[in-house]
Amino acid sequence: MASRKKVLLKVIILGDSGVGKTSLMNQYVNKKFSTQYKATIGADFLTKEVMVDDRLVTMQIWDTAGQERFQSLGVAFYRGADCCVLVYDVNNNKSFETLDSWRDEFLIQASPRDPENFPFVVLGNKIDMEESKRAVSQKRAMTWCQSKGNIPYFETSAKEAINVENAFQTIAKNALQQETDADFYNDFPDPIKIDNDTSKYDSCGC
Amino acid sequence: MPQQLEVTEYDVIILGTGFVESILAGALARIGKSVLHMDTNEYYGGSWTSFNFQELLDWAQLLQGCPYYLVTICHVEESSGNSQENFEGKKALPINFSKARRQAYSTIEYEIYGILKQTNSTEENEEYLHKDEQDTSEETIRHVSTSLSNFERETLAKLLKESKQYNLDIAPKIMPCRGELIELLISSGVGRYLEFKALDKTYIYSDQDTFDKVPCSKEDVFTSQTVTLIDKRKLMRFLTFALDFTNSPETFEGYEEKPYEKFLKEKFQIDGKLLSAVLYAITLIQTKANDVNTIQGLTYTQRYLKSLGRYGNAAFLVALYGAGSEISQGFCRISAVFGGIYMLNHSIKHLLIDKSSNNFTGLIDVNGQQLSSTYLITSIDYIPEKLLQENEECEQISRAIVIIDRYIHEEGDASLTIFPPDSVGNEYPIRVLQFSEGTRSCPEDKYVLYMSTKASGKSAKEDLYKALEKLVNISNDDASLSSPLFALFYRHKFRDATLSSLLPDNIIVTNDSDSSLDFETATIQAKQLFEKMCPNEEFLPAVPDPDDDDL
Repeated sequence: MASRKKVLLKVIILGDSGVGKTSLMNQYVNKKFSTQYKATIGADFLTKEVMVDDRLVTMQIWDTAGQERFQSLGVAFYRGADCCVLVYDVNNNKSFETLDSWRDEFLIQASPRDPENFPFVVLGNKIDMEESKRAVSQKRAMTWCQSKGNIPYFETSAKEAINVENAFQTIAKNALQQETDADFYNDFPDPIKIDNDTSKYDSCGC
Repeated sequence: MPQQLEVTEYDVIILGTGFVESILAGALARIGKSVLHMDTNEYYGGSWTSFNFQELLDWAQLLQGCPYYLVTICHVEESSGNSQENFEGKKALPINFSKARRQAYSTIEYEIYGILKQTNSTEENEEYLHKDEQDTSEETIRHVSTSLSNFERETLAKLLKESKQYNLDIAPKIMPCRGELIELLISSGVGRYLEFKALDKTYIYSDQDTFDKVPCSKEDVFTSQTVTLIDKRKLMRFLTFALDFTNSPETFEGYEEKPYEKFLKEKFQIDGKLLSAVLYAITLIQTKANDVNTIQGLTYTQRYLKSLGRYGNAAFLVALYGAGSEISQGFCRISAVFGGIYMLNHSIKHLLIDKSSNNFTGLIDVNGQQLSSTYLITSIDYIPEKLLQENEECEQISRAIVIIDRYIHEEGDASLTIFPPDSVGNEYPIRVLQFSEGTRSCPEDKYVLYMSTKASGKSAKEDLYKALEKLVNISNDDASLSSPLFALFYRHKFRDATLSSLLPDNIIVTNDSDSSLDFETATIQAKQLFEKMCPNEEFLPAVPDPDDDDL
């Protein structure tokens, strides 16, 4: 019966401040982009329904809400993540170099059951900037992704909506795979949620 | 690289990420105040936090005075700054966080128990030891184990191996299904971040060495096999009245200020075991029966009864992964979503006090950066000693965290067991929460007991040990009981800094967690402090749906 449940996938987006995490979410969900940078305010999580392999799933994409700025994301943020998206700015070398520690941080805090096979996706954002500003080559990024167990890699522009749809399709697919695997272990009754909107995630009564 | 803030002036600076501070952070950022929220600890929750097993052991050792370099968490060993009478025309008062923290706890003792039952696979256990000695817990085992037997070392190695599957609350609390906190979680949207399990079984210890299941709801009374028919009728009549007591004031007229116990005996002929059950398991009084008057008693009883039915036959919910820490993080997230700035693992050196007005003006952080704000909200740990008055009479709570290998009473996610006063030589009621893997407190096949009572004897262990002996096979050789693996006993002071008259008006102090089983008093404190600071503002209004938002 588990497979008939309406699926809710939790996706979290990590990376240094200013690499475009919130912009990517907004472009994907709301098809909007704002050139005005404001350190994330008002963004909690966005939800979007997507079709994955003929299944309708709800993807809940969680922003860091700026708590990453001083390494203060609490463990609660990571709980129950089905996919972790690592974002860096292709024009900023440091943001690429910190991917390692973001990945480690995720594995420590979220402590997934099967860390070797937990789905990550890497996004190199801001490819709309002029070529001369580019600090991290595609080759270098792909080499890193391969060394970490073949993490899927996309080069994106939240501003010009390049590759964003594509990347999130892969994110949804891999998150669903993870969720299905996790369900296999989980034979406990579902915990109680206290929001008013409980009907939304109820199993379908057919 | 030191972490400098570009903005150095805020409406409010908040120190400590405990439950009350976190609610205030969320509420203030929500109405547009600029909030800077800092914590010396590298984790959220302050004295309301939860730890994995290794962290709990480290925490206990730190409180016992073990050098910080031997433990792995929160090793903030600040050198306390000097008091400066003149810093740019202000007084700079040093903060000594670690010292304040240590002083809040006393009589810390822990025990690791050898696995008494010989397991078949000694080889497997050998393997455990070898494997663990190679990784990071090697240090812990060596440090702790000098005095341990081989069996005890084996237990320790197993606990450390599963360390990360434990979320152990240092101030465990549960949430009534109707009350201040749950309504706030729902209305503010913070509830969306959290998951719960129902606590739907309560047991009470009776002097004949038995535990009776307490019938709480009317259905329970109906089906109960431990209650006699006469008692059932009395209880039914009482529960019906209590649920709606304000509508029949004639029933308690003249008893308002008199002991609740007297009222129950005289008006409802409730006595003996049934009286104990009503007082300690349904009304959940945390003191001696005489100390609770009829109005207070009826209010608590009604609150309990009203909580039933919303989530099945449970009066309480248990937050997954440790309540204090998770709920605090939820409110901090709301704060961050609305612009609150977060800095964990960040020490504060001095508070700055204006000499003429005696007002708080700002603080100096670990990097020497000066940060200022109109208000300071802080947990008591960050208050300089000079601003505190000695308060001899503060309440102390004796607590124990016990890890056991099998459930007590019955299987289930969560239960509550009560030892009424004098039942095991105890002065005050002892309350024992049992959580299972379902609450994410511990791994599969383990259970956690959280014991608490108001302090009365010489130590936490003395206050709780006799009750523990009735629950687990700790000293006698009763194989029908579950075996303990680990027990930590400690005393926690409930420091009430609001009593200090030395505090500047614009420093707002939040209380420690009290001896109550739930978050209600703390939630009310947060709300009252907010209303005092921002009298005409709404307390945590609903968050607009980000999907509809025009960002």
